[in-house]
Amino acid sequence: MKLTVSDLTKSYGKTLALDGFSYEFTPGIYGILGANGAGKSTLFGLLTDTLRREGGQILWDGTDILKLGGRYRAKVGFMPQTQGYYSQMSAREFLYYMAQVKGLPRRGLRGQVEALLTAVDLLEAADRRLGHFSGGMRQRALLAQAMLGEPELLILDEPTAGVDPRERIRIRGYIAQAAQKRIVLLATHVVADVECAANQVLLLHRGRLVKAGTPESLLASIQGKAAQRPCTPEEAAAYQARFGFGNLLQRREGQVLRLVGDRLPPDFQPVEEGLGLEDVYLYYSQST
Amino acid sequence: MPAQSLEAFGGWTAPVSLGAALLWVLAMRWAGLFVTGMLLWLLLSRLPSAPLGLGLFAAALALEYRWYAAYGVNNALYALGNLNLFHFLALDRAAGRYRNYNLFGAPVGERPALSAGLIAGAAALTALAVLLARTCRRSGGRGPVSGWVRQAGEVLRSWRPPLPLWVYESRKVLWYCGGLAVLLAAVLAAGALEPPLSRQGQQEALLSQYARRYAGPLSPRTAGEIDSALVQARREYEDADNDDGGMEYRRAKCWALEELAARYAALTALEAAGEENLWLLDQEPYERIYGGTGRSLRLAEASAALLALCLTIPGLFSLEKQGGIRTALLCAAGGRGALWRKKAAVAIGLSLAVWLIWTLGELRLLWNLLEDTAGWEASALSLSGWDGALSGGSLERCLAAVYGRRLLALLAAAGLVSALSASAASFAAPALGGAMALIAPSWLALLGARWLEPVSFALLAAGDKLGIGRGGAIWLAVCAVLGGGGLWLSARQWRRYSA
Repeated sequence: MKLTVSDLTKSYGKTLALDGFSYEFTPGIYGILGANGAGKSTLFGLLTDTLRREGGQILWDGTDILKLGGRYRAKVGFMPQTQGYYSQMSAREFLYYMAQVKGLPRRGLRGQVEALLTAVDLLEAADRRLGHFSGGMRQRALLAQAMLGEPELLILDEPTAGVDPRERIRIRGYIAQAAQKRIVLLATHVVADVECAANQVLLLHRGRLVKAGTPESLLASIQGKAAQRPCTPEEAAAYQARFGFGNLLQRREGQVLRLVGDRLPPDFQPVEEGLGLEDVYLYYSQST
Repeated sequence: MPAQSLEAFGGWTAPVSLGAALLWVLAMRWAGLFVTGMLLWLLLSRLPSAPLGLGLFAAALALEYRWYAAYGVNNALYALGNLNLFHFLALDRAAGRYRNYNLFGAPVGERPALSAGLIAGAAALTALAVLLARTCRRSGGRGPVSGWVRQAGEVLRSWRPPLPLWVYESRKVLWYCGGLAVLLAAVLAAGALEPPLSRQGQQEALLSQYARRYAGPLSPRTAGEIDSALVQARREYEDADNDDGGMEYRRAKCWALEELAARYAALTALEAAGEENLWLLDQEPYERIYGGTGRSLRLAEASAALLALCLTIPGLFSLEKQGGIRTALLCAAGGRGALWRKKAAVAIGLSLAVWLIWTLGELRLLWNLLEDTAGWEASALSLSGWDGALSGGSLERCLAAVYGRRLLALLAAAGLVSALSASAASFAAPALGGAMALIAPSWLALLGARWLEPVSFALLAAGDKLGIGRGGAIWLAVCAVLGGGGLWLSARQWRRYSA
């Protein structure tokens, strides 16, 4: 089971949304981290063949996905960024409907749907209309539809967007359960989602893959590249104007400005512990 | 004073005072309206969209009223009127009738029975509404009623297999987008159609009457009877006194029989030339439906059928566009092929349904005008003056060809509207676009813009007389291009890349 992406390119008019993206995905959870407009949804659109590819290759076990067509899509479970649903359908009906669209065999379908509803904790509300669901419940229903048919490739675009922290933790838990023996691609701009769930992290910035690796290796790569000191707001603004965008943290002693980069102010204290993927992202996004 | 003192209450059978009568009427009207309102509320609370619920309710009330108003006391279905909502809303008839119902051997007057029934119905609905409202208000909707409903649902689901995809697609169009209300409205409209008024004067009416009398296959006996009748009519006309008020009638009679004889002679000549199975027929019903007299009727029917398609087919793609679910569907294994095929099948099914409503509605009119349909087996050339339009064969075959042509037209329209729907992001745009393209030019052409006739789809679909005409092949080609091309385009648009 391998998804190989080579030199993938896509532009919208003059804007280069994805610039030569290449990576090889094997079973595991991949967190794709990037700001808005970094190219995450574009990458997923190309992987699901809903966007027209301009250059590059996407191979599933060595065969181009365009050649595989429906056979490739039968292995994919996709949860798009927009909360698309039929407000008049109940959650259960929605899953049955999506199962029909996916061409799943009717035998065992009922059991699968009930198991998914239980897994995402929607069994009690399964006969209520999706239009009456909260945002978090809808996200769970959409996650369940993506997991129908036990796809080998699960693509989740901002699965925790717009949900409260409790729901976010819940959804992360479902994703972790679902990730056994499949490739899970999780796009988000919420660092905590990736920190908790992903085996591998890919950093996207302005359409380019700037860095990839395990969370530990990424953190190790910015050792010695972070420093901080307490600052007033005016000082913080002045430092950031000179050394790049930083992280303004609230501490007991007041506001602390943390800067990451190759060039740091000499009067800042180096930071060895407590660094996170947010700092990693800041470092790599500013250095490109 | 007694209620019967007033003319309005003169028919009341019970000895009541005016005040009591007024009170009863007002109370029963209030109760009837309350029951109607409660039924509407319960219906709207269970349906996915308010327009659909209101549409269905209006259709049900219209059907009920028609039934209430249509059947007189001598009709076998009259008794069912007691179950009609309007029976409760307009109680004047009940008050004016003297009737007892047999309730376990005891006679119960109609007015008290209706009053008791209405009060009991209002009380029961009120109690049900309060109970439902209380159970729904509890957290999570748990309560005895919702618990039973949930259990019943589980039992139902355990033995019912998962629904096939085409059922879901049909449900989207008919239920979620209100297509069912549109079809019901089409059925009601077809049922309410009346044939256009006959343009006949006295002599044409007599011609029609004589044609019905002597209708049938050509035979020397029939020819003899017509000649005898004509001779008799001429004698009556010549013998009549000029001051006699019936001169106009006798002149008309002579004209009618002369026309009939001429028509018979023309048919005989056709028979001598080798044509078979020629009948003498009353042409007036065919003229009123398929001829010039029925042109407006046919255009109205065609427009209504096309409008029904324009208001139903956009539901095939609009929900996915508006709900943002299209991307997820396109990523599914069957989202580009199987799903589109089911949508296309539903579009074809809707066209068939609309065609059936249109055809049966029109045939109902024809059946009501004809006294029997035996003449359908006759050669179509039996309709004098229509020879140029007909391609031969029996009347039955011509009718089948006409209705087959209309089915093709509807399928073509379905293809076009499907393509518009797959391209648009909403329901309204393809509905409006389809109506403008398919219906508007025809009505403008009827109002005087004759240059629009070649592109007046509704006019062309409605047809003229029973002939397909020389342009039949062109029409078939147009329908094939529109229908097939439209469906192909809808598939392309459905599957197209977002960017």
